[in-house]
Amino acid sequence: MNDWKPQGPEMHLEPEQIERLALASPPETAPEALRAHVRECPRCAHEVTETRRVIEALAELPRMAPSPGFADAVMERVSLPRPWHVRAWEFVASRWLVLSALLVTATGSAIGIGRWVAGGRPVPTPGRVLGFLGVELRRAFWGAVVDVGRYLVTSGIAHSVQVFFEHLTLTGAAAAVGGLGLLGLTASLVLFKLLRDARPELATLNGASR
Amino acid sequence: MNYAESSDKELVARCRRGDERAARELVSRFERPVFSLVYRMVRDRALAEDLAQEAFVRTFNHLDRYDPTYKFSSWLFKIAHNHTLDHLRKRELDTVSIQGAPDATTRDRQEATSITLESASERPDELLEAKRTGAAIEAAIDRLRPEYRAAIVLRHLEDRSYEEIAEIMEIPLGTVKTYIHRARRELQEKLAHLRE
Repeated sequence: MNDWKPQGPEMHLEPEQIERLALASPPETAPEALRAHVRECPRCAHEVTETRRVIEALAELPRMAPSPGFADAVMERVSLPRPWHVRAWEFVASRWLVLSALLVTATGSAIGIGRWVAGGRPVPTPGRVLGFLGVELRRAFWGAVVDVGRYLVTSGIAHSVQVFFEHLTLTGAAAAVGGLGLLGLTASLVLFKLLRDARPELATLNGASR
Repeated sequence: MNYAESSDKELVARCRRGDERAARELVSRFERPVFSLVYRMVRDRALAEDLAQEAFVRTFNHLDRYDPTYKFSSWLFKIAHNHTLDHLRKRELDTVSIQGAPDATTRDRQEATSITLESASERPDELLEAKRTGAAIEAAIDRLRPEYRAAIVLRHLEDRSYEEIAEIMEIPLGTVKTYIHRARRELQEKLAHLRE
């Protein structure tokens, strides 16, 4: 652009060159070739004056500023990328229940396999492991049933229930069944209403978890 | 760590490591120019705040997509410009607006078209003339096409180079020159009456 030289009377400055002259402060800082052309060319001189007038008018415009709470409002909505160790901790903290369950399962499995091997049992195949677990679970279930029965007998609750049924009349039984039915119906209605009212919050939670 | 003296690049690097203070410093550095650009495109303070805010949020929430070889401010302006332009296209906002301070009907307009008295010695007739010019140029900017408006504001109010404007508006350099030239030409024509 500095090397520009007018080639003839019909040649005029480019818009960028006009802008350069208009912005030059002081005017002597503009390239001499451009200034020389303007001295000779009334059309370009007029163009430079007009452009300078517009640029100066634009520079006079007030600079707009947002309201004072703007930065706070932005920062509330910004979620910056977090370092890996922070993300790792958040991952663990948000899934502690699942991870604990996995840990317990893994530990239980390790103990079970250890006991199996220590007991001199044959090589564990899926069928043998399932059979072993079935026996263990059955034993645990019946053990629990016996424990509950023993508790009921020793605590006297079983005796109280027996006395209650001995004195129960048909009307009393009907009233009890009706009362329980009414209670169940009321509880269902309350639960339904609570769930219906909580639907927006549940939807929000669902959306946030995605 | 002195945030105020850090470069944009350093602050962006800190933001990428989760430093919120660095982000806040960038917001305070650029809230005025970004808001100014958006405001002059939509002519509504509340809307401009919303759009500028969204531009900042998008910028920070997508820092992973930012290419540090470019200026951060250009990227931020690009997001603000695109978001505002999208809004204007969606809403088909009427870009032909009001006529400046003498006829300004809202406080925003009065504020936008007013000129601050810089010294006590300024004469009232000069002030009135300045207000008239300010109002006229605001009204003239209002009537420009949104693309011309963005280009002229970035060039002469925000002092951005032609290359940066091309980057921000995602258009070729030649188109930027054409837009700015045409915008200035239109402003000259619309302001001609002030000289008469």
